[in-house]
Amino acid sequence: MTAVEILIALLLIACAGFGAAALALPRGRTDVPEFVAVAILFGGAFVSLAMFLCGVVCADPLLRIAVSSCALLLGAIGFFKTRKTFAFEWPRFSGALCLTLLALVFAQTILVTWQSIAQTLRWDGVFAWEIKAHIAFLNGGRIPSAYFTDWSRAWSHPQYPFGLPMLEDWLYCWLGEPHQGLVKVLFPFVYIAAIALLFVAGKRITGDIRIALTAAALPFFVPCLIVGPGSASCGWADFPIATVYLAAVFYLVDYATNATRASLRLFSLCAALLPWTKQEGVILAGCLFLIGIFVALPRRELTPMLLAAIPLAIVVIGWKIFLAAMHAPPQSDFLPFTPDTFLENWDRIGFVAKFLAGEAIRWSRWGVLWLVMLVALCDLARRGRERHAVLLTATIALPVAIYSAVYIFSAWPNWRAHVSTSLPRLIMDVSLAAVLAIALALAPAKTGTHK
Amino acid sequence: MSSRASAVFFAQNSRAFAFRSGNSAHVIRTVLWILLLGAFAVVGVCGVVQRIEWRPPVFRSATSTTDEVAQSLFGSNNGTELLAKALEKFPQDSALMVVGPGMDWRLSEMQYLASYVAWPRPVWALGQVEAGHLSIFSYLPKDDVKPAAMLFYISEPPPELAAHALTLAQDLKIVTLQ
Repeated sequence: MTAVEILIALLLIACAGFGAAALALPRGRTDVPEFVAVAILFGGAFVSLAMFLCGVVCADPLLRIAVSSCALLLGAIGFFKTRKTFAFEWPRFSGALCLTLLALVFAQTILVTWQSIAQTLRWDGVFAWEIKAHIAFLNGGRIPSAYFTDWSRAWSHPQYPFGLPMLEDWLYCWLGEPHQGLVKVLFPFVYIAAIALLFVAGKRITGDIRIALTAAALPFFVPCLIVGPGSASCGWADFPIATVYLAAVFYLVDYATNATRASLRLFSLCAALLPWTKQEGVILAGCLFLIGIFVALPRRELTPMLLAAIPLAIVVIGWKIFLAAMHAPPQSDFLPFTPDTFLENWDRIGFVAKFLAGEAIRWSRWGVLWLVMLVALCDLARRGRERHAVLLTATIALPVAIYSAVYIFSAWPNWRAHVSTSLPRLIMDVSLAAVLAIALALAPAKTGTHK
Repeated sequence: MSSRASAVFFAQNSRAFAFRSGNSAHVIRTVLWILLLGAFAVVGVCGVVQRIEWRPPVFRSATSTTDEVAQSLFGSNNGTELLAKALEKFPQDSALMVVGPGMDWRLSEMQYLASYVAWPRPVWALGQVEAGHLSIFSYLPKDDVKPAAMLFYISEPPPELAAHALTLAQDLKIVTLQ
């Protein structure tokens, strides 16, 4: 019976994702991998958000019925829309290189799936994320207000967003018990979304399916993306936020190149998902909109770009209001962001920069990702792809610079430990964008954009 | 695939990587990218192989992660169940206190584990330190709270409580106070 219950839970996520992708993606010819990636990301986000919002007024089993109905309704809308206006296109693979790369993509998906079920959730997976799903399940599927006022559990970061925990809670509600093992079935799908997005981004921007497949195969060679703490297989929020960030970066690049309303809409939705996935998503989304303003200004499209920030503002302000209403304990990892604190601690930046440089050449963790990314960005700029080079450099460098500067305000007595325990995972957020930059650098110099 | 075979493979498919032109700049670029991608693949695979975990699937156990934490903390194979059974008898509004070495990070880990299992009971941590020192791993309530039970982790209960102590594992004892 367990398998059936898991299947129902996953199918309902897929149903919601199908509907959300059909509503968000433009009509006409649609790449199947793009539809799948968007459906996974938006389906998961929809179900977790619905669990959270419906949980305010009802508990399981009514909660499950309500969320299932919403998912089915969204799926039905998507079905009718796609039947009339969508023409799905499957990618065509031919040639030895394509087939080899395709085999590599399948192999890495199998590896991630296997490692997902072979590894436990580890420390952060259970004590920062799954604990919220566990508590929600014990309270009828909804997060109890007592959790936010329970100072004895302030260490579990009640102020962290509930995107991932509510999705885990959804699975638990169907299973009928919290299960730290079976919850791992969710995570290979995020990896599939990531490689599908890399494939689509590579294909859309370069027009070459071999470059697209290379982009999808490259994460296989970045050890910390595949196995270990924070990886796609371990069940933390780091890889999901890296995937959502990749989606947002891709649609921003697409908007910069093609200036379509659909790409701006998808960029807007992906950016709004960032702070719902992980707390630093606010920084990532802020960086993207700052870059987006520079993209929109020369085209006199500042107003659409600012309007695109509305979903993000709703998520961020809504969450702040919710936390204030719940009297959640304040974030205790950072001192007040004041000029005095900055002047007092600014010399920390030397240590952070040195640590960052050391982390970039930790071969056992990152392979040669950051080194090759630097070469790729230089190569892109040199070959007259300045727009892509500048955009990708900004979307990678800006968040890393802000993350590094934030440690000036660290409240930890041993702030060096704060840097060393969190910065390596923070830079994972931009790692998939770095993979995309490498793949794009492999493309022929004169290929244009394909839509 | 040998290095020669790899070179032939890339050479045959070099169009994919935009090496169409015959001029020397493109040839140099081709060679550099082949070397870079080769290094990317070799270093990456070495890293992945080192990190792979060869073990049976975790989905058989509903408490696989907390059991793993419990095993590392106090050596019990089914630590989650052990703790849950020991703590379930206390009313849901009663507080619990974990007592242990105040300068040992494992005190926090023990508190987190007990806290995970004991929901909705609040679980605090009291670190034992030498006089004049401050425990960095204590996690104490602001108001006066009378715990219903104390979990002594890698530490012994004081003599007046020792008679009431129940051993859960080698490094873990529980004393009921109320």
